[in-house]
Amino acid sequence: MSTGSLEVDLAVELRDIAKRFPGVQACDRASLQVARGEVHAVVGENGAGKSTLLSILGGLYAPDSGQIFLDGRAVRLRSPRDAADHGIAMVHQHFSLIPKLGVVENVLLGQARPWWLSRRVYAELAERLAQLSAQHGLPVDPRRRVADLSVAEQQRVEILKALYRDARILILDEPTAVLSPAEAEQLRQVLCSLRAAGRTLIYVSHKLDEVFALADRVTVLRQGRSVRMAVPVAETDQGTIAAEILGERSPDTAGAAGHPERSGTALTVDSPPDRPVSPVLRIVDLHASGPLGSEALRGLSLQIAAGEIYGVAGVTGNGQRELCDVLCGLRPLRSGSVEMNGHSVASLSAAQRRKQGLASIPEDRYAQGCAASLSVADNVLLTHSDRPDLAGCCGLLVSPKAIRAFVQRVLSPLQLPESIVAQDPPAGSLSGGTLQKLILARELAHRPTLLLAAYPCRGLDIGAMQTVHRLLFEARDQGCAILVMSEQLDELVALCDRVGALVRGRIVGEVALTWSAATPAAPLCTPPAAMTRLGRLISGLAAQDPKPEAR
Amino acid sequence: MTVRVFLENLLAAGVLRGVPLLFAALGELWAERSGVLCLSIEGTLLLGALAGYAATLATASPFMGLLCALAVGLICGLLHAALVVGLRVDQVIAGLGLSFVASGLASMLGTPLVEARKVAAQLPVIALPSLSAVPLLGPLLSQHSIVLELALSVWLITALVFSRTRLGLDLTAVGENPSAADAMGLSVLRLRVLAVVIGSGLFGIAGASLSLAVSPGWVEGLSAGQGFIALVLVIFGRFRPSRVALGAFLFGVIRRLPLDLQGVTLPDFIERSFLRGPGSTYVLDMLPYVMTMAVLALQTVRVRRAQSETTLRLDDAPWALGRPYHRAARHER
Repeated sequence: MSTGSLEVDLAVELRDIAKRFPGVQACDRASLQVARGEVHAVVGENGAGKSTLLSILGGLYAPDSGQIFLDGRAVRLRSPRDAADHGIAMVHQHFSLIPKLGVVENVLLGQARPWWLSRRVYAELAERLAQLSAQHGLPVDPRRRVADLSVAEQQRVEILKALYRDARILILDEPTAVLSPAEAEQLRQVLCSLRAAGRTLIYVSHKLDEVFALADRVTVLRQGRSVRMAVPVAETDQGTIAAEILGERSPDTAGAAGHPERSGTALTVDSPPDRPVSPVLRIVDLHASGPLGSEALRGLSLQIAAGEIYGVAGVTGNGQRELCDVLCGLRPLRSGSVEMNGHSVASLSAAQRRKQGLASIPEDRYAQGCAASLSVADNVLLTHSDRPDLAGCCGLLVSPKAIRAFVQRVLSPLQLPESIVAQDPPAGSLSGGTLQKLILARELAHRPTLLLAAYPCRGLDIGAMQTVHRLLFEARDQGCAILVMSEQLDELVALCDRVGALVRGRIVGEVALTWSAATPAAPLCTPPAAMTRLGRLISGLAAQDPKPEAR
Repeated sequence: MTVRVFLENLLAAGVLRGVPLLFAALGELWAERSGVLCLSIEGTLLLGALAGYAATLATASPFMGLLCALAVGLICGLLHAALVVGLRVDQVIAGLGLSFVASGLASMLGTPLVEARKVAAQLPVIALPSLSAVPLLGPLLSQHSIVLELALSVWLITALVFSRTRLGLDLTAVGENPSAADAMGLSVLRLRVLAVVIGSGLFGIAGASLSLAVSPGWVEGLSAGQGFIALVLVIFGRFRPSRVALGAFLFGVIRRLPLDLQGVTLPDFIERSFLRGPGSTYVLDMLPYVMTMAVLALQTVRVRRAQSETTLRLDDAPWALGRPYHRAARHER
């Protein structure tokens, strides 16, 4: 391991940490050196061991071997409480808040005192929280119940909780994964303010542009090892780091380098396909209700042709989930029409729609996309169980041999690691990227005419993201119409032929990328122009003008 | 007999009937709020009733009996906690298993007591003659067993613990989101064991309140399914101590109803209905369950209705109820 930065005043040092979970070597002698008062980014692919390494620092897991030093002294962190006593707080990817309790009660949790919670305790705490939130720009109403807060507000509560305990070392596990771009920018300012206040921040992410905008130094993990330790961001660039993340896989084919406008997220743009003609999906004036009885979709219209990728851009909560549900047949529509291949699907059940050629990649891949406790092979079979060629013995039983061959055929384009093919582990134990690839391959094996992909790359690392994009391109080239939702404008602009901005339940404007055979209504844009225009549409700056302003 | 006298007698007897239900339901509430489903309730109750009765026979002190019942409840609780919290055995299987073992054990150990035909002392009755003039509640307030005070104080303490103390907050957290509680530095294991042991101790006391006060004596199957009524009471009371108490007394009155109705002449159409027939007791025994299902169904309707409002309504049941917690399993979700 590199020991080049030992002269720095180290707040945290993890030395040769190893941790094994059943079937996975999550950390394999990983090390980390974090200087006092810096923002230190830890980057790596899904499953590179970032979360495990930092959970060990957070006291959640005990390492199998290796040492932890805080301020130069070796410590053993037996529990999160132990870590908290040493001034370490962790903001998890999935928040550790209790939805049913209030903000104040959540902050009180896990504190040793006082045992009697009088009204005064609550009032004093609320006041202290108000102070802290004013000081660091973290607006939250302490009297509200956590269940009623937005995701960004919940994250602020987590950070406030850490600040209330006066944590010196704050670990943030992919904090922006759940945030909109505007919220992410707000968070960046909060973190800068915390650094200015002298706190040490450890920031896990795989969005390299964020890392380079915020962090002082960066450590790269790959397959449980630290391959680069504490490199100052000023002395490197995104291409080099992306190459380190991917390892022996060449960064050129990975496409991480050489995209000046589309920094960091490493997207490739294929040549445009042959021109589409007839619409596969036609939605006209769609209205549907949301979870709170409000009207989530208000007059949404869009069309997607065969062989076209249509992107839906917008801040989460503007009707994305409802649109997916309506299309899949999980939510009734109030009015309007939804046609697939010229036939109305409004009265069809989810299963009937699938028979008509609809496939979908749900937003929550662990809860909706797979049966987490079933094996990989069983998950591939989930939607294919009625295939006649898998039946044996006069159609009464299934044929294990045919199933094995079928699963292998579906999974072969993914180039999954040997261990997954051989051991066939439960789907829930796969990393997000691997599972997403599996779901996508399963859905594409239906040869759908319409594919609905809700946030297909959310939380994925560069490698997995590229596989997902490649599979989507291949499906498009075979004539599949694809609807993609994403919060990442750069991703949409690189992936789609046309992108519509979804604002408060309507498509308020569309852009067509230069390689698209333009629909007359939509302006043809180069990717940067498209991003600018979409950004304006989403933030409500540009009204729904039919006339293009950017060419 | 006037309507007033009838109601006064019904209340006096019905509220007393509700006392064992209240102890048992509060015990179950402790366990369930921490995320552990305690189905061993019926068996522990019987074992507690037997222990209380036997110890009173042996020592001639009903308070010794009460203590013994508590001790038996605590031991059952430790065993249950070791199984479901420590070893993470399926909570339904472990609870039902323990319940049957404990009921069997109570029947076996109790047989000599049934044959001995001795009578043990009862817990003392508190007489407050000055309160007898209170309308409706007069007879209840002026003369009742001390178990009523005991039950009310346990209820008060439980309500305060869950609304005003750190322990209550911690238990709620462990029942709602154990991995979050763990990350907050709470010991899920310790808190759940504590909750199960306290809850089970209350089952024991519930048993003793039966055999030493409410229906004094020991017969096989003394509890007559009251453990299960307590179980649904927690749901009926939507996991809140005050509503659970209200429900316990309501169900107590309902259980008492067939007895009190025997001497009363009712309007003709009721006299001829099934309520008067030989099966009426069974009908009334079913009522608590029917009412609980009705409450659950109503809740669903209300949740659906509330969705048009701005705030999200959450299920009353603790989210992690019945789910064993294992820290390393987080890795696999």
